[in-house]
Amino acid sequence: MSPATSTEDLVSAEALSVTYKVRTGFLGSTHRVIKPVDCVDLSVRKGEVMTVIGESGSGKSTLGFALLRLVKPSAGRVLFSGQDIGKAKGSDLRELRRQMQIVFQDPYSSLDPRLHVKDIVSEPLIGSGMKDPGEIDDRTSRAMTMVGLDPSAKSKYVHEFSGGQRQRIGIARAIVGDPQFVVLDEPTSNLDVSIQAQILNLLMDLQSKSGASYLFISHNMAVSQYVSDRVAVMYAGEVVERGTSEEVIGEPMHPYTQDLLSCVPTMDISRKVTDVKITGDPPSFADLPRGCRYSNRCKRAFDLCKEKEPALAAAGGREVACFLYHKEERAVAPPER
Amino acid sequence: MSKSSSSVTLGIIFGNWATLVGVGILVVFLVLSALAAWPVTYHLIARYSPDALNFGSSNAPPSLAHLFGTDAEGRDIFARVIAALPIDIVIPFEVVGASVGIGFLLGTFAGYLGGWVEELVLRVADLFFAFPSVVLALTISAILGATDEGLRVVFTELALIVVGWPFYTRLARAQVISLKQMPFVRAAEASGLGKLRIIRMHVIPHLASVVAVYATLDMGTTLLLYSVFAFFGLGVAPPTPELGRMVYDGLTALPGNWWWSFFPGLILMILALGFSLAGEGLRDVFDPRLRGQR
Amino acid sequence: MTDALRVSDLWVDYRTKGTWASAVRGVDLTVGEGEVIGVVGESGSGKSSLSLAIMKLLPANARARGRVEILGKDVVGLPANEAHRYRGAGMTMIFQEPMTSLNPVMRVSNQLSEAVTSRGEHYKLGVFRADSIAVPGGRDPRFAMGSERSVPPSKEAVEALRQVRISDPERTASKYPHELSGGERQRVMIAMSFLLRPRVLVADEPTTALDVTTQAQVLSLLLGLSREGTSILFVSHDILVVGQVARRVAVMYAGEVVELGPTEAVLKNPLHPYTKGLIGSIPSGFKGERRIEQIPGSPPDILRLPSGCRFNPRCKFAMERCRSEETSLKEMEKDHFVACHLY
Repeated sequence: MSPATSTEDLVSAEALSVTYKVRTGFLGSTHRVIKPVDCVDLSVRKGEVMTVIGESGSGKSTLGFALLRLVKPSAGRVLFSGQDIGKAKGSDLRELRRQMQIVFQDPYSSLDPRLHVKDIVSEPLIGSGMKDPGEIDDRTSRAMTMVGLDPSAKSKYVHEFSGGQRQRIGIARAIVGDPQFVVLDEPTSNLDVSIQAQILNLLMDLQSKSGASYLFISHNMAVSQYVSDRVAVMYAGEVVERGTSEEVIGEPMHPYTQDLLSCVPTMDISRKVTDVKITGDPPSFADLPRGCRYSNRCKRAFDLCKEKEPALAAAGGREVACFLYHKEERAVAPPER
Repeated sequence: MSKSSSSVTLGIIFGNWATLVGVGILVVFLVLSALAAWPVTYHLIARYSPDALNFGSSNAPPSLAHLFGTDAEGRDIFARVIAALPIDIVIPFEVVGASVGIGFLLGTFAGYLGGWVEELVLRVADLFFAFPSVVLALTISAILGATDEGLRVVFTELALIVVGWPFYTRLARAQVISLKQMPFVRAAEASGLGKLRIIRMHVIPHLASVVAVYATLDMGTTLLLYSVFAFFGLGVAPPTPELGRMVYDGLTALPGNWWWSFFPGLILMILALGFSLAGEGLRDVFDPRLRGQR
Repeated sequence: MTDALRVSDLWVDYRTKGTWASAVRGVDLTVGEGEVIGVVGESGSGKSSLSLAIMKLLPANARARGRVEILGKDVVGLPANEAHRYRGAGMTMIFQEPMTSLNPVMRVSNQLSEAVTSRGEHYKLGVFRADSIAVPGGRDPRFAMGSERSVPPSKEAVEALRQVRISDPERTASKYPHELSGGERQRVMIAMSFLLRPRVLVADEPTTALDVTTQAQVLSLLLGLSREGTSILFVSHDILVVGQVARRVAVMYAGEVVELGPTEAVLKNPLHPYTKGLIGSIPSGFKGERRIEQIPGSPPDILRLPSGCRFNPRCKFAMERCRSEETSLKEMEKDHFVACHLY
């Protein structure tokens, strides 16, 4: 862990759930409720990089959105420095918005093609109520310099930039208001490897300089390992393992985390991912298996796993939701509203 | 390294002959109708008055003296076509403009706000959407029973607007809903921008381009529909010249005096074609795939 | 060993703004029977244009020059109406997004059956040797639209789906493509390849859109296909994924192959500064342990290629010679080629 990290929570989610209604049937006549985030507890400490690792459809992006109040939780709450963000209004909410920012995965759709770079980057300043054009201009230029862009390019349109440069614009927008908390939703997964390296190094520099807390969302194990102090592994809407990066990625305990890691190709090409005997795909939220959500793909599943859901509980220095390590069951989720 | 937006626009207009033809047709007709609205220039072009009866030269086929021939009363058809242009050009702009204005406003708010506002707007829109426009216009005219020509024109336009706005409402709402999911709109929300500001900065500019394309295409249709109304005896009344009406009146003389309906019909077709080609061109202008390229 | 695919001095040009710009610049590659060759490159490296040129699927504003021999027959000069004969049992392509290669209004089983029929036709046409595979006989598996609903999935289709480890093959066979997950769709594409048994398979980023657990399964299926004799050109931006399946790997930069060699040699002992940078920029280790290398700048625009070695503006070893003199592949170790003036 880096020395700047403290143990004090900056952002914490308490029993957070997000549900969506999905219309099905003829002309959407019926609907079912899916729960991409299901009763998740998660905290991000001051000055740390926390990574949520998950495959597509694990609910990791929805969790990130809910932490920023970009989607409304159906149950639970999010605290920012002890303040319930769901209850904030008016100037309190504006101040919160300034403190919490986001960088998106796609450097194309996340920047409005009809705006100049300066209008994109300065958006959080405007949103937080800053009026002085001189100050807005100064801070915009400073943010652009910090991410390695020439401030003289601020009157250009985004289509004049490459993918990597566009992602720098997105990062400049996120840091322009000196936020304490930034969610990075797969910020490098649409970039080439050599550009990814530039962006990762830039993000790590910005994080250590500002001391802000980052919530990194990623499906890439190597990237997660490289950037994180702590990680949480999500599967089908739940956190299945959580701990320091060394614990979880170095010595995974949950069978899913183990399988996930064994599927990642590394420089050691003698270790063949093609020998991994994992089957099937992650389940869809509309059709979750009974019991532990990984039980239908898990090589070590036994009878209990197919009946009851394990709870996230301490084991081996970190927290794991697996009956191999403890018999604690997950509390029944609160009823749908 | 990159071109400015306006030069890309010009590049698309001049790079595509179809768009060029469409825009050319519209420019020519706009200039013609502007000139036709002013008596001095009108007479320079048309040479005859649209209402001047001249039984001495009635039923004349097209000739140098009468380019499009004359009708039974000896009125010059070319002169009447020119005189009809101002009304036939202005009506699509009025009708589509009003439909777009209403639809754009309602659709944007319905889509962005959602909830009961959206439900209400959509149900009302569906109600009008389901109505056949010609029947509606006939009903409105019958109920209001206006004998005054000016009022009749207004009522037929009203009928077209009533059936026109639901389409733009639905279009705007669908666009807004997909825009709402775009990460750049999410980013604006995360930045704390207010709803109105997000609509103004991020939603309307994108919406405007899409709606402009459909509106231009729609003008051609509206022009033809209005002529259909005239055909049924709605809207303008004789002797005021109107292209659709002239086609209708000429039908009785087919096939002998074919020029009565042929030339007004041809001009109508060219105009509608102009709107439609220009609309297709606009679509290219606004296509981000063409824009984004360096 | 005969070469199933031989690419020699292949150029692919695109018409832009009235001139021709080359996306692929004189590529030579051979793929032996049942061999898997990896092509690694970033966006703009020309790797996708290379695959499309091999498949004769280039867009209308592009042209290919040079030779692409499939089992000894040049396809570059082949008229478009004959090219389709070589696709299917001769050569097949798997794309990154399988949705675009599946017919959205046709059930999976019928698409698979169609593959069987087309395989039969290929052998009847005598385009390819039919030594190992029997032409399927019996009823015509191409169904009219009206009977879409009623016909049960053919045994072959279900068997192919089982082979690609789809859990409930009967049910999956009667679904439409949009009802499948991304991983299932990609496996259906591979199942189709199993049925077609093409001599050459071009896989363009076949696992990029997939999760790692699904990727591992798809990679192992592709290896299975190659063991049955299919030669695979595996195109990817990810050198580690390529390392899992390919015996040899070619690294492309700005339309040229800059390094070519046995996978292990290229990964463990990269010679070209670009390959070194590419491998150095892969994140590894825990936070704060080491800083990953980064290649400065971004790949060049094909309309404004630098003179000399195309990599020289981003290369920390660039010398005077690199800016003026073009490079060509030289064999440094056995089968390990590099195009760089350092050597």
